Amino acid sequence: MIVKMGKLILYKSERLKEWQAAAERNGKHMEKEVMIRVEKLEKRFQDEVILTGVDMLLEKGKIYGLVGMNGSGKTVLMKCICGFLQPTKRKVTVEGKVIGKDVDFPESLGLMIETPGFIPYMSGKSNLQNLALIKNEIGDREIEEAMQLVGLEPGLKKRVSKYSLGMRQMLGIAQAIMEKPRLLILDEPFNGLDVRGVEDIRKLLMRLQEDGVTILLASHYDEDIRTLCEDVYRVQNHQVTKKEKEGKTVGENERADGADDKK
Amino acid sequence: MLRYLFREYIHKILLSSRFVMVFITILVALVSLFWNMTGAMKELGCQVGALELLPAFLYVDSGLLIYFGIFVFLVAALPKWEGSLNQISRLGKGKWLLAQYVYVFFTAVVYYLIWTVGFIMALLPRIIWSNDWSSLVKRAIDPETAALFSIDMKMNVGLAFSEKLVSVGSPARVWLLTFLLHMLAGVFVGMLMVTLNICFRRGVGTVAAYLIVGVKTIFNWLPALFNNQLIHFEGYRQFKNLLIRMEFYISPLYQCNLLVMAIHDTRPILERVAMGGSLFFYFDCSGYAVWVLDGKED
Repeated sequence: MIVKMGKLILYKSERLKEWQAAAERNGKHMEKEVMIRVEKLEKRFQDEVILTGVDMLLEKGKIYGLVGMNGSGKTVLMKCICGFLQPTKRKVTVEGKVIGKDVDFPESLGLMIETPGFIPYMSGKSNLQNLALIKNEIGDREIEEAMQLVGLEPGLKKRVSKYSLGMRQMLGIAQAIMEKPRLLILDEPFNGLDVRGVEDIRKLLMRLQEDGVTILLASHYDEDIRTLCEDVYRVQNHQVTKKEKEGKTVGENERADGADDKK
Repeated sequence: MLRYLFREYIHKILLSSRFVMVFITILVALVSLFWNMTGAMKELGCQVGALELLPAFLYVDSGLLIYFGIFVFLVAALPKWEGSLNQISRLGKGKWLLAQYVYVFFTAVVYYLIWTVGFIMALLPRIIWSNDWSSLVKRAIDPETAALFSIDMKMNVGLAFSEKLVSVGSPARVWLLTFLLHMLAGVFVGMLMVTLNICFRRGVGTVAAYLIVGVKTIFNWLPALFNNQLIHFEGYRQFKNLLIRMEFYISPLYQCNLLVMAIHDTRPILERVAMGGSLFFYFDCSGYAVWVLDGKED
């Protein structure tokens, strides 16, 4: 058992080295240090204001947290950054390109927002192969690597419909990272994962950060924020405020957004 | 991209439980409905061409209603904006929308073929593989036997045959023309559904499509709901008359009826109208949908 785990760790570290090399190659194309710039963004749905006056500056190679109550606008903000929603006012710039104007979506983006739609009667690997066909940039080896990195067995023939919530979540993360993106946007990536799964994904995210990947993650749990994030943005009352990690504004002993719930 | 679409839609169309269920249902329904007819055909020594009965079934209102009713059910599986973000971010919005239209197109093709296979399997003992009009059709259009055709054949299903239709060409030609017209109508209804579902919310397009498909039936059933008092109401009569007159121009289902076109000798004109109208709506709707996707609410 110990030998098996040792081999797995060794395998993962080898894969991560390759990953690092790929990220470095990608990084050479990046001239600016700023990954995401959001200035005075406003988003309305008809007359309802969801977000207003949002300023964010996300540097490359860092992990950023996004916290807020349910319905506060975290997902809307993430969708605006990804390009799924157009801001009502102002703009979002990713790697110097205006989303919705210069490009539809950020050029090197891995994302998991909401529950990813997989074909239920196909295996996890087949689903990833199917998605990989769209860009046709990676092959089976990269897909298997991504699955192993999140803790999924690539050879598993099980249909996705038979997957547990945690396994689907891992598959969602695998599809987000498999094409080695420079920007990773994850909405509640730890939902449904067991303690070991959470720990594995945390380590994976930290290693990806070391490789230069910029990560924006929304999480309900303070532990994730404290362990992973350099800076934390709180979405509250339609506005986004930046909280330093050490500032303890995000509750140390309570859920990040639970503080508002309790009040 | 093409490989992705091929794999995606092979799975979505041919292997999805929705399609398997529809195929089995159609097959079982057709075998049960044509059971007596097969026996009667055997007694009378009649045979039928493999491609003759589906068009005849689709020229009757009830047949058209069933056909498009199930088609809307199949297309209602789309679109999946929610849960498709991982695909959309890779494909791009425009291509994703195009992919939904491709799904509608393939669905329309496969669905027509499912019905064709269903009819062939239901009448397999009496099927002949010939491109000449069969003895059954000749019996149906012969003035001497036409009057009692339905009774002689113990038919449980409405089928429409006409000398005009036979004059259009061979059974294969009629089947192909019917296929093209139904493709046109199906793709139009499907695209409208996808567009409305994206513009508003999932379900709006489905309701609109069922209204398009069932508007005539709904108007026929309405008086029964009001104890037949409605037929004496002038407003209802006027509106129904208007609808019947306008149906010729506005309903894609009406325009896919080759028999009506053959009877009225208006087929080439209507084909053009249907084709032009559908293409116009296609570009209009797709352009609008791409634009609307930007501001779609959660």
